[in-house]
Amino acid sequence: MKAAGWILCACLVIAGATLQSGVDLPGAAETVIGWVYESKPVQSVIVEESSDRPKLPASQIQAIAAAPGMGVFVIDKDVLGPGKKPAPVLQHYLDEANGKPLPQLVRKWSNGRTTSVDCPLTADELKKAVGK
Amino acid sequence: MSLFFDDETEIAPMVAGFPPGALPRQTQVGGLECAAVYAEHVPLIPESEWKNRIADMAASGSFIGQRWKSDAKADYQNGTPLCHLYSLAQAVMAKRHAMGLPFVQLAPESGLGVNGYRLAGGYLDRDIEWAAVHGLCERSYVPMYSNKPNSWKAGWADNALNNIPLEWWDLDGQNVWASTVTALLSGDGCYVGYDWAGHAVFLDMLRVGTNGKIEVHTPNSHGPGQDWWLAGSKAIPSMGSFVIRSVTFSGATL
Repeated sequence: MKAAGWILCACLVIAGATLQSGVDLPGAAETVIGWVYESKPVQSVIVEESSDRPKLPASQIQAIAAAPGMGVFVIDKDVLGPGKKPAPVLQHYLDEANGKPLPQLVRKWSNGRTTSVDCPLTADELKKAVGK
Repeated sequence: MSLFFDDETEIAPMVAGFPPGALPRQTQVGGLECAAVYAEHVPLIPESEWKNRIADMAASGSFIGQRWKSDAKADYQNGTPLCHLYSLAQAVMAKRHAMGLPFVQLAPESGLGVNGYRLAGGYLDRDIEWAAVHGLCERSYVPMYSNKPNSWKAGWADNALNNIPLEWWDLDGQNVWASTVTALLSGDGCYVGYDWAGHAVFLDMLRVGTNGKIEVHTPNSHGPGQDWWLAGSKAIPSMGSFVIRSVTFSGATL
């Protein structure tokens, strides 16, 4: 039993080090490790391709509709800032989602990391993912 | 208390006191640089799914009209023929909400440059073309119903650059009703014109009526208690139907 505890501790230390190292992890693993290390999402953005919205499952459309009520921004991948100029505040989030299947949920964590996962399929899952 | 109009409704009473503010579009479908044709790029939701999806959307409060409520006093055209700009401003404000941006009350009059600052009716297609370049400014810069830009608060034109509806979808054409329903079921709102009323409105949700027909809602811009539910041929946009893809990201910190 004691050995199992040590093994668990070792795994968490390795996982934490991996997290801090910047290596990309699967979304679920990222979330779990984030919780263990008391890292929380401090800002979340859904990056979407607006022309794909009707293709999404109805429950995911509802999740995206509910997102602003959870403090989550919803942006098209081609959105711009004032005066139709690129918005520097969004660049980090757009870069994180770039090349991945949209919609992506991009989260900035309290430990400073930014990660992205496929946008959750329901409003409840989204709520959990953004720590609300 | 909403007003309801369908194929049986007399037209005259519904537009009484409001001069026609929307005129037939001047461009061909797909003729606007800022608005691609929706049905050519977006898969339309099959009609067989509409009623179930309407029920699901309504139950979860996902229609844009359930999430963003137009202020009937602030978004009130008050007898002017400015429905084409008041409903445009509603569309931009609703889209800002859907993106999670802070609320700003916009001044539809700041779009009057599209017709030489006349308090006159206008064309939806020309309005979106103009707004996609110039945007709309906040109400604090422009008094309601003023068409004298020299008297507006300095900086209004720069402020308008914060609220540019960048890109649109053009839903008009043979698929206009299916495209409009698909857009609403996707959580968007539609900026549309109705020739039977000479009126432009912002459509924000759907329901299934007691007779099983699909009805569409607009907060309208005729003042408190003057929102409309439309059914039958009166629900089908006939002078253009447009959806904003995104507005400029402004007023929020990340």
